[in-house]
Amino acid sequence: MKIDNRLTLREVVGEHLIVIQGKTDAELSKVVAFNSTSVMLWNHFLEKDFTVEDVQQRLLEEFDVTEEIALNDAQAWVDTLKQNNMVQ
Amino acid sequence: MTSVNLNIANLLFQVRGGEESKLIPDILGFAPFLAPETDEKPHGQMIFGGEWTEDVEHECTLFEFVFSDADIRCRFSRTASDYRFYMQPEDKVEQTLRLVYKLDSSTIVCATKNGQPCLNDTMLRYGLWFGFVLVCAENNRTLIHSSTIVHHQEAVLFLGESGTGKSTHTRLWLKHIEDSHLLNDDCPVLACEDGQMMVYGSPWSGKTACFHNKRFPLKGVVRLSQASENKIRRLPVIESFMALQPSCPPALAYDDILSGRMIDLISQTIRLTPVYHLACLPDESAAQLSCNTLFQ
Repeated sequence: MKIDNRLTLREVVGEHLIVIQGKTDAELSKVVAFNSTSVMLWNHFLEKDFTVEDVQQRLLEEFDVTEEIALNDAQAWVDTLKQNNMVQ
Repeated sequence: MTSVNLNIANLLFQVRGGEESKLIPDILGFAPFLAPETDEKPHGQMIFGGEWTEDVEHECTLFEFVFSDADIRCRFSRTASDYRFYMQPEDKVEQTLRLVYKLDSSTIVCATKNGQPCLNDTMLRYGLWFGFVLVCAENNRTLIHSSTIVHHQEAVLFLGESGTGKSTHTRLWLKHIEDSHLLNDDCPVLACEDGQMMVYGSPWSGKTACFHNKRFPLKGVVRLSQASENKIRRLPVIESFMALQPSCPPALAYDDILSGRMIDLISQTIRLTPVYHLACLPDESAAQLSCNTLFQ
């Protein structure tokens, strides 16, 4: 999968947000707020083709956690991206 | 070439050419914003009577919608070199009015498909609105959908979807809160000037004839929703952002550069100004609650 390159991570008064515009006037826009780990993952995988295992690997490099925890967290992060149509 | 100078939100906005510029002084709401001739360089100019060409490649639509007040189909698009905004009266393709704008050129060139002047009042008003939206984006400003009260010389922006009772709430202020007046009932200008947030009246005030060419410091922002009791709370950053963003011109949100500028201005607003959510009834105590909270 790849991050949708039309999305831009923005900083608003210390918060990191991605605004997903509704496709029509009637459709509400959505705001996804990122914590610092999500920001790190986002910036790392931007413009790359990646899998859940790649995300797990990146988490293992960054944090002192077990492979299982890293995999769960990687899956949760990818699921969030998918639910919000943020990956293609 | 005829030319009309307007001073809106402390920006010199010049409308030139075509038959259209001659009509500006008579369009409802513009008279208080007419400015004398000057040699100063305008912050923005809109030139009517341009040529309609269809030679552009790679035009990509950013946003399409129907301007329901007047049955006008609108389309905002981007090409390799510019932005385009089309306004087409329903079933009258040949009367389409098109604005062409190169980023940071301060210049919007307008043409109609049939080469005839656009004499439709609503289209002109709305076309000028959109042109000014683009000029604002170059100048740390935005038009914002709001009913705006001034109390003790400070402005409060009331936000909400159409029909949530912004105007009803501000009318309650006018009735029950001393020293309050309406600055604008639909689309004032929010500006960041020298590290301070300011609100200006504008020629676009919806159904209320309230066209004040005046500026006041911004005291606070209140997003409204209808409820069965009155309750107000200050919003944290993310919710403040979500309160402000939908009230800014939606078309800009579909372009990365223009939306980036909008988000910067919203950030500055949140940094400098409290943003609240008011769940309210259409009654006096709702107005008292928002007034007491903002001006405690």
